[in-house]
Amino acid sequence: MIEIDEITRRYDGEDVVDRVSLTIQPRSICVIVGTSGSGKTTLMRMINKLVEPSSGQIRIDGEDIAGIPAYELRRRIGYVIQGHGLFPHRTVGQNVATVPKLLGWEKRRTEERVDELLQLFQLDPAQFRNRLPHELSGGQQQRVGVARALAAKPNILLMDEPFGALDPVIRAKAQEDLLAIQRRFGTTIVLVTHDMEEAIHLGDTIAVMDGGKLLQSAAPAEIIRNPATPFVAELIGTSERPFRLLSLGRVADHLEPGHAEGEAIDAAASLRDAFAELLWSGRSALPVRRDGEIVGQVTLAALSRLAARPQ
Amino acid sequence: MSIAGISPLTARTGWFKLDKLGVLISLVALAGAWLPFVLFRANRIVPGDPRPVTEALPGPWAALLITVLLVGLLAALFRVAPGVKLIMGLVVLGSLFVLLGLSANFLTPDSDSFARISPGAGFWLLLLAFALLVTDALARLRLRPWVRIAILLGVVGAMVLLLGSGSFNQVSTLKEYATRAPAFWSEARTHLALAFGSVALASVVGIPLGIWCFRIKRVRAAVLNLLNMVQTIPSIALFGLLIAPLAWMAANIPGASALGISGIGTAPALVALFAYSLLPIVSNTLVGLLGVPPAAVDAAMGMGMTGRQRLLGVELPLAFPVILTGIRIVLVQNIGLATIAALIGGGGFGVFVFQGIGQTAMDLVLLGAVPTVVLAFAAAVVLDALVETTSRGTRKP
Amino acid sequence: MSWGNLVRLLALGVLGVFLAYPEAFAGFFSLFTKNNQPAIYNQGNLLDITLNHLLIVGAATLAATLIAVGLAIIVTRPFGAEFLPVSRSLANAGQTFPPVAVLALAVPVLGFGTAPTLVALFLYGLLPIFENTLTGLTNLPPAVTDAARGMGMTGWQRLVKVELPLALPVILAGVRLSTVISLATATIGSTVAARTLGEVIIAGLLSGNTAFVLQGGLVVGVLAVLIYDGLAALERRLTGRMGRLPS
Repeated sequence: MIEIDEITRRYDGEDVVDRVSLTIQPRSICVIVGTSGSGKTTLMRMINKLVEPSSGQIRIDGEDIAGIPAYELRRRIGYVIQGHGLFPHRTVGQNVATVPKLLGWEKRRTEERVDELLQLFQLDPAQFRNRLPHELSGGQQQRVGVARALAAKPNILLMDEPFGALDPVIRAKAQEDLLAIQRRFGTTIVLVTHDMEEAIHLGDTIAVMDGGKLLQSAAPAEIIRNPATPFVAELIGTSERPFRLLSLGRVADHLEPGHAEGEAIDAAASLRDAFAELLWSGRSALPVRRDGEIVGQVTLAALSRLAARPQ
Repeated sequence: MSIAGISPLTARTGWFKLDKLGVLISLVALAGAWLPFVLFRANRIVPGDPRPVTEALPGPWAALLITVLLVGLLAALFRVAPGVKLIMGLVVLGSLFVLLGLSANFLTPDSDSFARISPGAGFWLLLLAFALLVTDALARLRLRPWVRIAILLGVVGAMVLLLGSGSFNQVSTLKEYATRAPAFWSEARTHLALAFGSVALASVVGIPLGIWCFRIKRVRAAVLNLLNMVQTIPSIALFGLLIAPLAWMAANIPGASALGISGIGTAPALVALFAYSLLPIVSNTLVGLLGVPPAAVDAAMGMGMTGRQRLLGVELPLAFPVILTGIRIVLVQNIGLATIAALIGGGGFGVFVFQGIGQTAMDLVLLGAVPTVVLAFAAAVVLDALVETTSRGTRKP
Repeated sequence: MSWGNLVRLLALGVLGVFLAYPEAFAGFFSLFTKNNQPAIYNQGNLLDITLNHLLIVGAATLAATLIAVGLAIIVTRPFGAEFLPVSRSLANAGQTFPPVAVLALAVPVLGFGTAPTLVALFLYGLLPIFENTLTGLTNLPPAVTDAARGMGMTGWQRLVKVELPLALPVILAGVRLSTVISLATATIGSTVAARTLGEVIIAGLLSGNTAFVLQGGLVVGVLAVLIYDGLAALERRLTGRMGRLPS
């Protein structure tokens, strides 16, 4: 658990982060959203002491981080930045092995961990271990960046616009990979982005920042239904709200008995995809398939109700 | 498809199109073939008597040279592969040198130790023309660093063989060498010690100084301005100005003269060359460190590297190619500047250059100048190759 | 007026007074003499020598600028592109020739005196200007050159109205570097009897008179700093008007 308590960071008399308090539950993903200059990156960088707070306290599992030497703390926390920040003169393998090496792991153990991680990120170790970062595609570089951050099995992963430099198709894939990895290892992730779509897709909690202040921190559905300020509402996008709400739900959770005609939709698909398919095919209900079997239907009427403003 | 139809056609006719640089090379080479190949002098001082190719060499050899030149010109003029141009250029250059030695043997009357045969304007122009051909071919081939070093070693090996075989002994510059061989090698050692020693010293001092400037912004401008100022002092003045303080040190600091410090000679020359080397090394270290991608530094910090680990593991390795470029610049520069050391009794190849100027003996000037140029050139090739191999990953090829 | 400019003005003033009335500084320079050596150079008028030094450097740099910029323009045009690789290599290889050697080897062709010095300075001055012009003309932002082409400018119009103005700061930096190198290198010309400030220094070296070495070196050094700063200021003014490349 990360507890941020009344934290403030001042530069030249200006509060870049202004008395922010935020608790991040273990094994959850917290996405900090805001425009540039909102203080979101500064807030995140205070968690691994890349920025020292002017006042306030941060506790990790109850321990005040002020008492931990910065380099020790950082070796326990994974860190991923936009544009991956790979060391251009070191091979992929050497890059991933950075923190294990700093921690003095045995050579064998480090090598095994590197190969394990590369495999996890669908990069064949034999093929990629000895390549240099510039020989990789943008998507591959980004995956190596995340693999490097996870090398020493940190409980916490900090990510600063990790997908900012990727094109939309690769970005969607990278987001799915991240969710899968988070589910597998139970890592606590703090992710900074300016993209509300990304925040809604990834976050268990969304923290919206503006002008150094934390405006709202809540589950995505809550943020969409009840934005705390006009700014939060604007960030979500007024005309996007119903679709964003739908994107949070899965077809499987809103199955209705009955039979519908035509092409089926997968139970794991989002309600938003189902809604789009209903509109596009002009049907009022879609059959739902799970493991190749039709298990029920999803209806336009039900989705319309779910997407409506909460009363 | 019209494009597909045209391209093989142009590929076929392209061979016949003239190479523009080849035209220039041909003009230079033709002028070279027309001008005297060697100069004959009855003794060291009298003006030269020009001899064209046809008179400079025995008939068959003259015919061979002309044939080789013609083939070389064809390779230059037409758009053949750069590899072919390179090999032809090297063949012509090799022939020129072998035949220069042959010509000297041919023209020197038996048992005449006064006659001098030196390369004429024609020889130099032919050398220039085909050196251009080789340079162009090498630039187009973009060879890998180690291939370039291999070619350099091959050329140096061929030169050593040619000089060692004695076939060159009648060429005037080698006659100057013959009378002062021990002095030549001792000046060569001094020259190398001056050039390499000053660069080594400057690296040992300059790289930490550059790191210091990088870490502490306030000292940056002051250090760089001071070093800039040093650069504006003309080399001969700096050499001269160091005489007095070093003489004072030798006289007043115990043990200084035992270390070889004295007012004239090698010490002021070494110090002057060292002073000139500092700016490029310090500023390149600084520029290299400033050019390290901020994302890599941020990542290094975020992963918990200490300042030392970051410097040694990330910043210096990434800045290294730029630092090495600085070292390359000063090494090449100092190999040339070390010739000036002779003016203050510091020794080096400059001794022969200045003696030669004093005696208007160009052969003697060449005895000092040619090794200096060869040394500087070889240093440039080797260090360029090193810069390229060390910059793996830091710059896209 | 800033402190820097005040110091520069002061340096210029002292330099002027020294060149006009060198004897006024005899007291200072006599500190560096021994055995009643003359404190002030006495084999020629210092002002004349300095002006001649500047003249040689100016002429060589002017010629080098015209030729180097011209050559760089040619090799960056389509019809001269074949010369680009070889010209880069030559500029690189040219730096391996020590100036003393160039001077000494020019003597048999041109004789002793100013001529070999002019040639050596010219050849030496070419390299930095050529390299910088090449850098300037080949590293233009593609968006700008594309836009110029897209608006239908001819090759000549692109060169004169877009490429040269944008490359100007880099070219001028090359000229500045070349001038300062030439100022120092010209002193070596005196080893082949050119009338430059090197003559003062060499006279000092030969007679073991540090005062001569010092005054020759100081005049060249101060001139170099002043000219360097002056050209830098000129550059700033010109580029301020022409606009800068986004860096």
